[in-house]
Amino acid sequence: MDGCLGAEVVVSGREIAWFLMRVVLLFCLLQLSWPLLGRWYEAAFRGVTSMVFESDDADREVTFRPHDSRAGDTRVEIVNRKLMASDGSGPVRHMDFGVRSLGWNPTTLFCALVLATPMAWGRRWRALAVGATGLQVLVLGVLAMSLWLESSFVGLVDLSPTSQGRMGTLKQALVDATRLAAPVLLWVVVIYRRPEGSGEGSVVRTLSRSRAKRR
Amino acid sequence: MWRWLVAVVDRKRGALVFVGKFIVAMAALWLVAMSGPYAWVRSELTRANAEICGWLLGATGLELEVRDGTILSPTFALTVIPGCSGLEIWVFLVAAILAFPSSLREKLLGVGGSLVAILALNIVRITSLFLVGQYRPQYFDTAHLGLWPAALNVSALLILGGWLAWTGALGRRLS
Repeated sequence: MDGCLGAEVVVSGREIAWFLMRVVLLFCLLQLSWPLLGRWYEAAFRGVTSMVFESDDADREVTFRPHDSRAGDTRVEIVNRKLMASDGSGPVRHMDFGVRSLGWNPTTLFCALVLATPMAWGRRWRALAVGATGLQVLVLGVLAMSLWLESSFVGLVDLSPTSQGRMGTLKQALVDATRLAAPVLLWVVVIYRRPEGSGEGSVVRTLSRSRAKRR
Repeated sequence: MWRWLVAVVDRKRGALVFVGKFIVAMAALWLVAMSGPYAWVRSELTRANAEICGWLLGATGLELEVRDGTILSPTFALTVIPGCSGLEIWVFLVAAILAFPSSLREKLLGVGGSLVAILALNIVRITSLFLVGQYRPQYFDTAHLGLWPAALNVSALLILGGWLAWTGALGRRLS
């Protein structure tokens, strides 16, 4: 059951189980904090997305607004002004997404992983700040790609139906990756540290830190 | 700035190599997922999920029928769509298992075991969602869009953790 890094660090199944228990507990607590912390996150996320992506120029109009539907709590409206008639009628592209599923859930998972990792608080806060910022940038990148793809349906971006299909699949893959793979991979990167004077680095070394202290 | 970046990359090299392997594995799996045969497998799996869940629910005495991937009772209907197959979570697990340093036997057992675990979990998910929709429809969206996605993510971590504990792969060098 035990794994080892060189001859020095050994991590047991019990330590992994204990770490995962802490992750689950913290994740549940953070999820339950949605009515309080989540609402704050939702407002901040909407503010940033509006600032970054909203536009109102001669060609296009992109607006974000709160929306209550099964597909999500935010609706993006994309308009190609050149296709609009003088009476204001014309094709409008809607894209609904949920701030909770797109941003909050992966962020809480990442925070739970970092907070459950036994390491010094200074390093933990740095890891949280760097990783959570990286995750938000990634989420905004996925959102940017979604907007770009949706813009192609009202002639703002020139894409063939085949390319639209391929990009749609890629977008879905990225959205799926953002939910689980991104927080886990970012956690691996931020907590991994090569020990001084050694050619080896370890996630395990960090996970085993508490036991090393006991020795 | 450049020196600092080089130092960071050097310090994180092991993790970055692991992330690189993971991304390559995941991209390869997604390319397979875009192929025709995979779409057929997913569609058949979806149908099988609905049949198994219908059978399980029927065994509890519920009056229902399963038609084209839809579980129907007199008061509630649940359509199992290809996106509900749970395979996206499995793709994450396979990529992580392939990227971690471990033997071929350990990888194969991890891939097979995680598939069985995810499929079983997905049946529990669909069955429970039907029961929520049948008896507490006001909580269906919360369970479907809030609780279960989070539970699936946590379960994936637990399955991966179980595999790491079993193989001891976590203790090996990442690169």
